[in-house]
Amino acid sequence: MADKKHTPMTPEKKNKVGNWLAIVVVLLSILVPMGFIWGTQVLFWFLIIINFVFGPCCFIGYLLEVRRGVFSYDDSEE
Amino acid sequence: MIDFKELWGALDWTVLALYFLGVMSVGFIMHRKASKNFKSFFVASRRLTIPVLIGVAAAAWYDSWTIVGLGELGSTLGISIILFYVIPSGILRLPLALWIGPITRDKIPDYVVTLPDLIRYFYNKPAGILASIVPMASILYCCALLFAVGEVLNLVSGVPIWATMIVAGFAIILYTAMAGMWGLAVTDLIQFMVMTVSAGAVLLGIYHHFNGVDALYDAVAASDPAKLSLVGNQTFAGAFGYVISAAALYVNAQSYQRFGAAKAGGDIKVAYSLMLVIGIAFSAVMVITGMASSVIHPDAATASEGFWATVFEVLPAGARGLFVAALIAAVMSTVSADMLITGGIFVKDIYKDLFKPDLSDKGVLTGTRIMIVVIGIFIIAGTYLWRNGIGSAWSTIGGFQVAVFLIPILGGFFFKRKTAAGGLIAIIAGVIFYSIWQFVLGAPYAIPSSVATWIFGGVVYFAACFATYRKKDDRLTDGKGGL
Repeated sequence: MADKKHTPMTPEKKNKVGNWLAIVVVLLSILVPMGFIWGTQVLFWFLIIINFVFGPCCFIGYLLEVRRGVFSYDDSEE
Repeated sequence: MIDFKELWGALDWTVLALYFLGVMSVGFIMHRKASKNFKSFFVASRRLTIPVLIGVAAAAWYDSWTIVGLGELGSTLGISIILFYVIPSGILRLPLALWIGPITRDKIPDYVVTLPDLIRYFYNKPAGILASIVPMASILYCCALLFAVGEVLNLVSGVPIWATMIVAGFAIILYTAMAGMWGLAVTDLIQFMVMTVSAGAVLLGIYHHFNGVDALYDAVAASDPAKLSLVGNQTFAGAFGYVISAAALYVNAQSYQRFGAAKAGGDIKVAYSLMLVIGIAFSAVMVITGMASSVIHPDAATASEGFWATVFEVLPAGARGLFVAALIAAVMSTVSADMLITGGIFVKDIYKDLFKPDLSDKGVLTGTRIMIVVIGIFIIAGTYLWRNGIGSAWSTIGGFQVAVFLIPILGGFFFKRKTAAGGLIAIIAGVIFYSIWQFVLGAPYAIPSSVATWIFGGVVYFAACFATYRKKDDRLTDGKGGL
């Protein structure tokens, strides 16, 4: 069943978020090697937390998408 | 000799069995939805949104090589592999996330669903047919991936490796043929979650094993200080090879199929950029695991055996099953997607386009399913029969496809004066030049064949496009091609 309250991100907003994420990728590309050189605890805990959290967060996002009807569209459309 | 069976318990088997059960159930559930038409089967009706895209994108870009391969490199080369592979592959893939993916989805017509379709759209039918050879490399790569699954299941169960490969291979065939991209959209996300959580668990285990980071670094420094240097034990050729290998994804059929399955270009931009963030973090964990394995199990027979022994040692019961499931997940998601794409290309771009233009959509769908089974059996047999030659065959054919198609694909997206003749001439010239440089001349002056072909192919491409470009351009012999 589609979630009526949900307002999807506009294309402009997605574009903006995508650009910010690209900056994050570039920053990570600088910070991760530095963390490796110094062997910091911060790098380890960052890697542990992001790996633990990221997949389940995506899964929750996925469940919300299912609730909003990402898989039911085809049935009703055709 | 490490006894893996002793470390592997009933709880690990239970986790693994639950994983297989879950994946197969998805195949059955999604079967009806995937059976509507080829578009539904191949690109999930172009309805995938950000969270789902992250799963399918990660499945296409991160496989068992990202797990065991990076672990092995971490064990032998240390942190230099971060500088020469992990970071370049993150940065070099950004243009795919920011521009190429969104353009593919938003500006290319819906009937373009495969990589040969895309080449044909940019140039002409002969160029598209030549691009149909791309899947060959993917099939060989799948053989290498399936071997990794067979090997780890053999380690923990003692069952002969041919039997473990057959079980895993047929499981992949069954759920891919049943549910197509709709099935992958669900299972890839579950598999992605299993992969990242397992990576977090194994790094936590390593942290506790060494009681902090300092002890790990001290132990690695004591065994080989070069492993803690950013340039480490790398040779120039090796380092350069790792850097340019990131370009392979620009000619990867899976990338374009995933872009086509997205709901919109903006979803691709967000999902793929996010996926690059986790890709760097995930890959870094595998490198650390490899480094840890080189000091925990310095006497292991192979780097991969040391990697698995370390993983099993630092993880508790149950979590080991989850990590093995993560490897199987990574392989299953990549192999199933390659089977789907290769089957689709064989039936749609070769059989239908060349031999049976009147084949119905239902016929394409049925034919793709049959091809998935045939390709799957070929992969299982190939894995067992030619396991020693798979690596070299993959690097030769994979290098060939990157060398020949990279310039025409990038030109197709961004070069305003591209022409049908220019694209076709560059592809044919690239095939001939690569063959001569690699096989006749033996890659002289230490210049890799792919780089030499890029330079030669680039010159030929632009020269041919300028020579054949007319104001009322001739690009589109098939009536399309402009962006």
